[in-house]
Amino acid sequence: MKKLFEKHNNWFFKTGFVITVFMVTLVVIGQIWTPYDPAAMDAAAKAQGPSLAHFMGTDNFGRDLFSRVLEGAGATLIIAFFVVLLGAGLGTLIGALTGYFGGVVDEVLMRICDALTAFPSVLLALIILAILGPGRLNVIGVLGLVFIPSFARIVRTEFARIKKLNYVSLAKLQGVPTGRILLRHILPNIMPVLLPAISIGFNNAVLAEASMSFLGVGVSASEVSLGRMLSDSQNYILRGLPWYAIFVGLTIVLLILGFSLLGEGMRQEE
Amino acid sequence: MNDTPAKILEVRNVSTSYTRKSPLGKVKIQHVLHDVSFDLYEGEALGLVGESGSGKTTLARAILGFLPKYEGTIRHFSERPQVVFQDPYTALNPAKTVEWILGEPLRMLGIQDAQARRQKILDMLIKVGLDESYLSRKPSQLSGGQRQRISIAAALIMEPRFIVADEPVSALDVTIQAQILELLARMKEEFGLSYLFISHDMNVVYQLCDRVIVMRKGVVVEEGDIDQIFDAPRHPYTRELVEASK
Amino acid sequence: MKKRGIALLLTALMLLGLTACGGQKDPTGGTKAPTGADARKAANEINVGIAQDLSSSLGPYQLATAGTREVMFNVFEGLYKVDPSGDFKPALATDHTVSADGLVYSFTIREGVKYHNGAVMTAQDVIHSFKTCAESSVDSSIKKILANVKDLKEESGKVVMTLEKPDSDFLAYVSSVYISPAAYTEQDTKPVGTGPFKFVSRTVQDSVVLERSDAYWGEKAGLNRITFKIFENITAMMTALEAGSLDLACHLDTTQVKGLSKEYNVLEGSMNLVQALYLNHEYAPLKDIRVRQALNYAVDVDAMLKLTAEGHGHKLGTSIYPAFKKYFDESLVDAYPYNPEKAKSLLAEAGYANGFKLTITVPSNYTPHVNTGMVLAEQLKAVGIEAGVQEVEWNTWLTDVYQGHKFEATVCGFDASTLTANALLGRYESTSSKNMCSYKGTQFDAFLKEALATTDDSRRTELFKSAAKCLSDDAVNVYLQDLAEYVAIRSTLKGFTFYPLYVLDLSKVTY
Repeated sequence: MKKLFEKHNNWFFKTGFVITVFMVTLVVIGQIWTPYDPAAMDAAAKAQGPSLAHFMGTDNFGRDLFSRVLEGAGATLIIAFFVVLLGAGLGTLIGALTGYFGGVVDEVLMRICDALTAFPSVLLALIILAILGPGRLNVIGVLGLVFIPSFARIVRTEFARIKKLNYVSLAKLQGVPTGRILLRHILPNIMPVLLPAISIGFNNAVLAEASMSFLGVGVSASEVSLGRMLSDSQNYILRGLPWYAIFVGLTIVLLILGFSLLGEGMRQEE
Repeated sequence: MNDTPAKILEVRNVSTSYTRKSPLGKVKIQHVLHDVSFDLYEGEALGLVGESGSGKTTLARAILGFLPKYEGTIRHFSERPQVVFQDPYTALNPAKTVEWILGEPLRMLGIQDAQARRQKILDMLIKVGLDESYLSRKPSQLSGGQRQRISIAAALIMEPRFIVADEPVSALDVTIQAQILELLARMKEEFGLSYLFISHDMNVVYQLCDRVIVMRKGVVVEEGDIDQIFDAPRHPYTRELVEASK
Repeated sequence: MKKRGIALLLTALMLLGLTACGGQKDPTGGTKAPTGADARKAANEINVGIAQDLSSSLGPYQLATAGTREVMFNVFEGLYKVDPSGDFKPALATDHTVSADGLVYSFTIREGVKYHNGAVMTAQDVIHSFKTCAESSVDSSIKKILANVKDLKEESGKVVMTLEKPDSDFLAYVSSVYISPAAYTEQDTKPVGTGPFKFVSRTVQDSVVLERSDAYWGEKAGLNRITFKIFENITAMMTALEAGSLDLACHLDTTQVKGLSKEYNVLEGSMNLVQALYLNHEYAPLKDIRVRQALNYAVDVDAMLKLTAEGHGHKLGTSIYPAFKKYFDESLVDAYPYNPEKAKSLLAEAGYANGFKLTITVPSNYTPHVNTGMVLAEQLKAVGIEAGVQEVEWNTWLTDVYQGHKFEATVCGFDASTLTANALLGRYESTSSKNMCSYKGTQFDAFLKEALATTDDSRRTELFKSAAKCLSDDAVNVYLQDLAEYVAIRSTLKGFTFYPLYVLDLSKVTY
């Protein structure tokens, strides 16, 4: 960790790191243990503010908010993880191939990407999800898909730049096969650009999940996620239960703040 | 010159050009190389001199096989020609350690045993004037001269007979230049190498080369023995270059 | 770099903002009723908030929406009229007789009834009205019933109708055929009826004004004038109510009436619908009656009401809502008391000791149904059923669930289009196109068939009640509740009456 802080010796990174580690630790604990069953309803404890028994209060069904926030944040992070895995994974593959080889495939794929980026990605996701219907897997699939172009673009630019550098020419001269050049020679060198993009992507995925679920096309009614909770909470803000929205909103803010600062910190190295 | 040495490289009538469209739609053909021919023999250090834009780097790229399209023929009579680039900052993969960078060509040669690779790398490091302590360093932790030594080591570790050196010292300061030139000369002796040594600096060429080709705007304007070129340049452009270096 | 930091902060703030908008405006509590309300009291008039504009035509057979029918109930009348207990009382007819075979109905027409335009109602008007309604009504079920009338004529001051085959519910439909002057042609825009209020004016998207009909044949209305004000947005309606510019608003939910000022009384009524966890008997586990009984025992309706509606709501037991007193059977409400242990043993008996997967599809635009679904899913999980809630758009619900039968279970509410037992029970007949649950009950079918062919009222009621009991015995669905709904009425007003139908009777409201 000391080494990590030496490498990224700035406050963005350090603050982001501390926040992210704190949040992720909480979420991991939440996957194993929560003070209450997050789904247990209790008519006797409906819509309460924070108390000793319920640290964040309870929701309109009397469910413990802290337990639900832990579980919801876990679900949101898992969704974000797979969204980024899909988006960054396929985006990197496409970007690497088009950036390195260029040509007609590059032209076609990049025009498709242009078309996709010209359309606001969240809106696009919204439309597809409205057709597919809500659900965790649908959210992951659709958001992952709309995240591909941004990664593909970044990776393509980097591959196109690095393939002209002398060490790549040298590798060719040494008889290194193309696959290995892409994977072992170029890929490690785009990490300074890819890692912040992944961290920002994570950020966007958390926000996008929240937005989708907030608008009712995200996870289904019996699944928990931060966005879903935020959506449910809005009805109670002015009906004596502002804590619901505040705690859920705060959790989302902390999560994305952590990732943003991490990304920002890594970017500062360049 | 001895008449027995074998040919290492044969360049015949190599031309390349690109077309440029002016804003008015006129198509203009720009020659980069025009009918270039020469030979390189075993054990020879051939200097390729010319100002920037003379086409010498394009020629080097053609010889190394990086130029997708050109006319004429280039024939190699040795396996695995290697290159030492001018810019030591982009010649080494910044994400990798010296051990990995020097190990890669060995892996390509099929040396799978890490211990065997390490030994060869160590031997080579010592030959280029470095030591074991450099193994775990990354290029960002090396000076320009050290990088160029690693570049040379990376070229030599493939055991080539022919190396293209594209302005290998021009990015370095003068004292380091001398050290690197000395290293190149020593390696040439030790491994019996042939060099195609590209430079814009007559002085540098004089220190290392046996023979010189002078290029200007893609055309070979003069070719000859190093002493002849230096003492009795025939072409006015060559004279200019020689004058400038004195 | 600083810019990015600021952008980040803004994102965070916006996110908090996201949660803040969309919430309802806090009603400004404690506003004193302005002079407007006092002025209205002095003039003996009220303003009523309604949630949507009336349908484009106001003609007696063109009332396309429930909201329009609710308002025009005060203007139009039929030969018979429903009363608050669900009985049909003589209105423009003074009485009627039915032949022994149930085929001939003869109505004695009330003498001297005047329309709002001054014309006198005649037997010919009645015949004309029935004919026009049979031809042009927007309500297909009424058209269908009237198609059964093969002869319609005047006979010594009586109107005699002869049916093709007997129909025990005929009177219920007669009450919805409003009588209109035969010679009058402007019903669409200037409707004329015989009711306690007469139509005065309409401003599209804004308001509808009614005034007392002083020539009314019955007990005259208490108020001089009613202005229906249209609010497409419920928040705007609640704000207007709080600001004192409305005296009455109906169809409100718990959260909306919570915190209303003391200027208003809140009356609890019900929505007159049957909310249930409707089950698809085509779904393998639900074919087994023991599984359906287990679901009934596993659901704790009281707990659900406490969680979703502060305990308000009227428990059912079968497909009849309590306000429909004639057919409601109190004993069925607790036919399946909450008993998770019994539910588990029934499941085990049926071979589902380890539970099964059950997706509860709910229409996303109906929050009460969504919330009920969420609570039920938890209660079912407690007995080992893997229940999940899936929200769908209303249109998807209609096509997939209601018409396509592509569901396992769903929470929704069915109302009665006319005040007949058949409107609530008919959908369970094996052959009915509305049989969403694919329930096949031989006993039920027999009771229903016999009831529809019986003219004797008490015998018929008995048969309908037996049919309704079949739904409970066969655990066809998990019948939950008739949802509570609320009326906010200025505390100085009295005489508001709830009906078991979607109507708003303002004739008895007074200061």
